[in-house]
Amino acid sequence: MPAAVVAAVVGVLYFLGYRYYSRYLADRVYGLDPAFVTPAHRFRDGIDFVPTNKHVVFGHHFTSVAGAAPIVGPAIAVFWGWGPALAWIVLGTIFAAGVHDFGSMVVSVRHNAKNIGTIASEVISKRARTLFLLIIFFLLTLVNAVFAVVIGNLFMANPGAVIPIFVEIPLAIAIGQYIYRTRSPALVPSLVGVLLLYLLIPVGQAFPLDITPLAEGLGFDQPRNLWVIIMFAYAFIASRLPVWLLLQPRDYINSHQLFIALGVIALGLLVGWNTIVAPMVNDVPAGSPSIFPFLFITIACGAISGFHSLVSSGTTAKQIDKETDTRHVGYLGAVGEGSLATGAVLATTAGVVATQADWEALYPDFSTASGGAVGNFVNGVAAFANNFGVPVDLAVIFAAVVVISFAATTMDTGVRLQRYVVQEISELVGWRAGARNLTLAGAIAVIIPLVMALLPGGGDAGYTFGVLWQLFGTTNQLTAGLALTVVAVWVFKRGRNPLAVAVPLVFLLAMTSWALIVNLRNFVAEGQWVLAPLDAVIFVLAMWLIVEAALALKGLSGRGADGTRGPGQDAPGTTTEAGEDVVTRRE
Amino acid sequence: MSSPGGSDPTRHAATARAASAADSRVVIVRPWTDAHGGGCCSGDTRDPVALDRRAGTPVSHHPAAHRVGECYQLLRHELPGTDVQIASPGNSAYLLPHVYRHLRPAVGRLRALWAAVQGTRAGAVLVDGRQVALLPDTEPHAVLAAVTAALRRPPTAG
Repeated sequence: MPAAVVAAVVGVLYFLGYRYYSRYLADRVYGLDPAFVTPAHRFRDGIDFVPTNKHVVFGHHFTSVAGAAPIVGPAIAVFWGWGPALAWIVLGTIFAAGVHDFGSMVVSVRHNAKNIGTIASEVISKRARTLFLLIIFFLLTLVNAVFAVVIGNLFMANPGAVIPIFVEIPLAIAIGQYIYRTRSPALVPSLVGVLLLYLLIPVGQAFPLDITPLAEGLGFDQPRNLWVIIMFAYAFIASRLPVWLLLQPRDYINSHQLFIALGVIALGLLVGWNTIVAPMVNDVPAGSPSIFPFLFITIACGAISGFHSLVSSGTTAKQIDKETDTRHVGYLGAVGEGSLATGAVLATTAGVVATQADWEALYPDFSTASGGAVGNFVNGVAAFANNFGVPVDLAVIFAAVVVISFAATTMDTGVRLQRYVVQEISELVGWRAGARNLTLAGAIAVIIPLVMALLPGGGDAGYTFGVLWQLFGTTNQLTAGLALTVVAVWVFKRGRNPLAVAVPLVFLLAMTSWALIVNLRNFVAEGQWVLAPLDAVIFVLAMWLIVEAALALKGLSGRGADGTRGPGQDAPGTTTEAGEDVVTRRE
Repeated sequence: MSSPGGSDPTRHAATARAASAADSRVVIVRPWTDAHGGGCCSGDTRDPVALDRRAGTPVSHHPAAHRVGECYQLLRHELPGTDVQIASPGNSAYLLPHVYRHLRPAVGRLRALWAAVQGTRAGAVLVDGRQVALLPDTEPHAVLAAVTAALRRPPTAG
């Protein structure tokens, strides 16, 4: 089937989802009130709280959530066939991610734009804040570990990408300094940065840096691991720099690259009219992870991602002008992420090779599929670029540079955030050194994921990566589960039907728990004594979340929801049954 | 001139809503140093994970951001019928078409395009796509005067 046709069908489904389902959510489930005075108006300070045009907020929100994660998961998950992977992406985006991103934004707007962790402690229980921090700790640990491995794999497969990526660091700093010192418009220097980055691609091709001899000389069993260590050393240093010095200019360059990559995929599909050569449902070899539940944790970002609830309830909620704008910003943000994931599926099933036999050689088993997934995406995008004349060799490095840039930025941000989490947990448990010493907190933030990333994993690097990715997906889905629980409780308290929220919540918790149990059994059987306890801890967190959700819903059903009160009928200036802090009406 | 801090949020909400029916005439571009996190997983999620607003913590702001806040509050208070937006310099998906759309009728395509690029200058205060002040150098009352003068011109005057 032509990939462009599939993309068009998916586009129509997303349009219908936005047009009708998000309207249903807005009117019947969340009961949006256009007259509600949002926190952006009530606490307006021109710094954090700013009532902002929905198109401006969408630009901020989408670039905050889009990146490498919705590429990696789908690129692995096509192992089960493009049909199930795409079905989960489309259905997940419309019925889970849209509900989750949109809902967590609405709840935050109704709670003074507080973040989802704080709201959880108010709406569910005080313990939920601790649960939230622990889940985020594991989530960031796994994010940093898997992206270090992604970068290591891509550098090993594409040594021509090394020079452009490492020159990008001083280039971004120089651009940031130039914009800051000269007060130049930001667009031109950043576009020049993108251009210079791409001009370095032929240089990288001419001088590929393969570190295999050095790694072997240093005694590394897996040469990739030397890259992993280098990337963590980089992330540790980068996370200590001011955000505006390196992270912001590089992220700005990345935002251009995101649109360039999406444009290359779309144009390549149309010009080349590539056909999907992968099977719709793959007959996977015996012993492979089964579709249920593993597909649903392999694709997290792109179908539903708990990280989005953090962005939705963070800076985005503080900028919402009208409550009804949350539909545009939150639901469409999820659709944008789903579109990127769809592009990843098409690149790895239609772009990467020309025949089904060639495709099956790339995806013979789960281990190989996991280890090579991102490389397959890179080669797929390169093939699309080749459709309109870009030489394949250069196009491969271009695509690798795009993905590595995203992944390195995520690592930089992730290590920085993990340091904050370490500080906050240290504060909670009264460990002063961990709370105050940035170097110590930063070292903890780096060492734990570094150990994860260096795990030998049964002697097979692809296996380790596949397992780490699944654990990342699991914790990401747990974060989403926590946010959906908060949203469900809030919807129920308002006397509205929470089924649209409860169904994805139950589905996610079921898939997550199921996957954790299966993985735990496998890890114990294989003697994986690092992964098994990690899996067990995450399983305990999942059970904790299920108990908290059940207790919260049980408490509600005991009191009974007020089914008669609409959103416009709460008394001004009071705390409502739904736990909203302040309700003041416009006009 | 009364204090912006004492303004009635509901009054401004209503006027801002009415004004946003048309395209915003005043846009403040955030200073370069008022930066956020990167994209993807972990993208701009400082608030949910960082220690609450103590000085020097990740959620505290560079002084330049506070100058923007002062100007914004003053403009909203003194020009209640005017919709004022704040955008990041990296939000070119909004800034470029905004400036271009405002200026093209008056100055033509090429000059509007060049002005659109200029509109991504960090700290710029734009009125109908034209830069009338630069933050944080300009005092809030000077910004107000510049914006008020610029607003007296018809939206697409050359």
